[in-house]
Amino acid sequence: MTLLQVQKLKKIYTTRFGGNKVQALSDVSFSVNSGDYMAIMGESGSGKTTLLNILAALDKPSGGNVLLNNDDISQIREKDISTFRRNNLGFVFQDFNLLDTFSIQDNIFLPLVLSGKKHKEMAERVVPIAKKLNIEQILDKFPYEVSGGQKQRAAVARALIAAPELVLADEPTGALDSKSSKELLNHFEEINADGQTVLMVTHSIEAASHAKRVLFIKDGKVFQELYKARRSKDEMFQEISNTLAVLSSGSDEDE
Amino acid sequence: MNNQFYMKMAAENIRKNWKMYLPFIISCISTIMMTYIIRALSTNSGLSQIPGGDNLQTILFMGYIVLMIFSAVFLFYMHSFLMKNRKREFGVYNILGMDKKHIMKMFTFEIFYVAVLSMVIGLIAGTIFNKVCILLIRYMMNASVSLGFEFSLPSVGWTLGLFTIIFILILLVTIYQIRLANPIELLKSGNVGEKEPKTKVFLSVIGFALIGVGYYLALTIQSPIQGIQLAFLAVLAVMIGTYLLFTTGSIAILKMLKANKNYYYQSNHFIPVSGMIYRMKKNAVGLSNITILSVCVIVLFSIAGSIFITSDSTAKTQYPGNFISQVSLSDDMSDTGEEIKSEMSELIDRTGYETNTSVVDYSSHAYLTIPVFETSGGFEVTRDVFFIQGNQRPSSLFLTDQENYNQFSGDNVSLDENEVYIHGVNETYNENTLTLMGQQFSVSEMSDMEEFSIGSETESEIGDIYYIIVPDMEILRQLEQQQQEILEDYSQSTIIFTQVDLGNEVSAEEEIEFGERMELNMENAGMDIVNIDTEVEAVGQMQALRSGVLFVTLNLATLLLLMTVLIIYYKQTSEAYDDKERFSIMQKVGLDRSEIKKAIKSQILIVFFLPLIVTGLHILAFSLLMKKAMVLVMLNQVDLFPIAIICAFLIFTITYVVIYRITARVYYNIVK
Repeated sequence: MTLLQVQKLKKIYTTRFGGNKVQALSDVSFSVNSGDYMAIMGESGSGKTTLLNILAALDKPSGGNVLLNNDDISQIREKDISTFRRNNLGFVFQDFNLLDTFSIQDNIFLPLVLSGKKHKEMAERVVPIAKKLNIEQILDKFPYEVSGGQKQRAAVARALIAAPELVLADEPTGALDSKSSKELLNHFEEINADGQTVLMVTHSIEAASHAKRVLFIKDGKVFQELYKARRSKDEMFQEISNTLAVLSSGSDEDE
Repeated sequence: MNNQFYMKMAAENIRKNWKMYLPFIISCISTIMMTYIIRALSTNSGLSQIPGGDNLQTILFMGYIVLMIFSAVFLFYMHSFLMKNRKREFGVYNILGMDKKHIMKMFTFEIFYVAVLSMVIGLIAGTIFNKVCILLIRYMMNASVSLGFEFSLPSVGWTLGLFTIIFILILLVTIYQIRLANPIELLKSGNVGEKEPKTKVFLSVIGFALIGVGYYLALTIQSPIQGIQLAFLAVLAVMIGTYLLFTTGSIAILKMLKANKNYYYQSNHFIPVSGMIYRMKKNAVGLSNITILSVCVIVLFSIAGSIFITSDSTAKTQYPGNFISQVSLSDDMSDTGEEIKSEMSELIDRTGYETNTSVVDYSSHAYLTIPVFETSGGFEVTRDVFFIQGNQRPSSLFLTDQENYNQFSGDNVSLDENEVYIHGVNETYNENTLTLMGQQFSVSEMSDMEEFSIGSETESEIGDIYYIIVPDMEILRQLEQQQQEILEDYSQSTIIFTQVDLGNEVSAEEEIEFGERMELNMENAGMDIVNIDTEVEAVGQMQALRSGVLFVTLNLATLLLLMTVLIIYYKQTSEAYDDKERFSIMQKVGLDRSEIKKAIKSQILIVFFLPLIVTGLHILAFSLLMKKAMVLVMLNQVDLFPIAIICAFLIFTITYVVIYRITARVYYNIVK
């Protein structure tokens, strides 16, 4: 079943005085099925972040459509957008974005509190997620008391607690050491195995090689797409490196 | 790098940090303006020529000294706020390769600019308002309006000197701080995470207890003038209690709210409660500062307001004639004072002739004042009256004999041998007998007795007052001797009180001249003078006292109000910068704009109105005590004082709400 459809997405930034126009996305189309685990790769400035912002409804496209469950994201009214985001999307950020004022548990509860859920329900929901992510011990601690890896796992728990349709991860391993990264990627794989759709933007070949699909973006266009299928992680790693090498060489001969 | 570069950079810094710098510059300008005005007024030669003007200037000069100390503390405090937000900036400069020496140079120019700017504006504004103040004082003291431009060069010099020193001190302290810090510290200062505070039950209880004790004292102290130490203790207890309660009590309450899961996990409680717990330690001190400042502002404004609404007639009604004198009787027990009386009448006639002043009427009578404690069936004379504890209430007895009373009042009172008439000003005397220093009298209440002493209106607010008529002068002098034995050097003699009414056409200057001549003549006659006064001088002094107190309190109140406003402003903006990141994260997680607005609103609401509520309670508890103290200035119109308090509180609340609206908007704009 198709969960997310991105159709001919365009984004043009205009500088304040209208002089320069920068085309961040020129023509991006792809679709994500329910249960997919997709990585989006590309160099800095390729339009990854713009794409993610539009998918997250933080930014509006200049052209094209984004359909989530056949609803057009850009048609959602301003006042409903936060509710939409809360109910359908989960976010994991590079720098965790946990709030210092809340304990880990309260950070995880935040989306539920904002949706007006009862405390009992929150307490029930957090148990299996915390167990799966191995953060049961630190639920009562504060973000400044735990390690980066733990913080990011807490952030993942926060993204999952509202049971969103789609989890968007922006460079989730960017601020972690290799051990914590590996752990986190394993968690992502497990979550995906449970049926959660994940869309991850990353620089890291290691991170991308965990995904089922890798989408390469260059100069605001889809450059190539790789499916993992039955390949092993190492093979996938190799494949991604090769593609990236082609991508950065600047030639279009493969197409 | 040359100086020009630093000058440019300093100017650019001020421009860039305008939002932070503006309140500091405003505080500099206003303190400079006010110290200049008070100093100029205290030396204004025109004012010193108004009757009572020199008294006024003494009060103003004392106010000037208070203001100097206050300005220095205030500016340091304001600047420390400013620096807290700028350390990061200095850290960046340091890392980018600016030496600390260079940073100091740049900063020196910044302070220099601020100093020059605020001194110029402050002195210009000061000169204008100085003129306004002079006119206002002249109006209040019924002096003729003086036109023309008044400019006090020595005052300019003093003000410039004082503030140059303050600015140099601020500069030195800041330089010292920059020198000590390393760049990483500078960079990180401002976003050091605060640990969640612990609940301290013990301290909360102490805080509650202290406020309770303070309130109890405030409500039970009978006389704030005699019980001044206790009154001070009450103020101190409430102040410390406020700090404790805000720091520990607020955390206890917030933790309780947090523990109530159904309350806490609601979107419009979740964010504000957690945010407040998180920085309550810092917040609480700020809140208690705001509370205490608010109380001060309201107290000062209500004093000023009550002086303003007290009419001038009080001083006049208190005054029986144009000229009064009090002369002690000699120690000779047979002296009944008749000799002094006739001598006085002779002197009054002579002085009237010498000064060419028309004397319309005069009268003399003898009376004795004894401070006592009321007991059942009489009064106790003891030295303890002079070492009184706060909750004891002394009484004053005014005694005269029937002959003097009949002379004075024109009545025809006739007493039996061991009988006295009594008149209680505050309460009637209900016993049948009266024992005083071992002597027992049968006693009758005489409600229509005329009051034969001056100044009793003030005293009746401090303690109970009884007027007593004894049968003859012999008994009066006997009582005098007895109380002298008990009170020794605190004792008083029987006094011949004389009042003189001068003709309506007699001018103020002539009245004063008459008084001075009278004094000279009485001295030459070898009289034992206790007190000499003229109505013009007394009224002038009263007015001087009032306008002096009015000006000093108004100035201090304005300054404190400004301080309160600026503390709130700085607190809100620095918190807004802290919260900016939090709210952007929450927005990403799915928090609505309108929800952000709601969360901010409820957070600011609590932070704002908690101090206001506590302020209101404090004022309520202390209003009784303040009313008792205000007798000194308001005399018999002291019942107007509650009106003044209510007005002051209302005006303050309105100002406060306006500040709330402004800072809430500033806060939202920063966070957004």
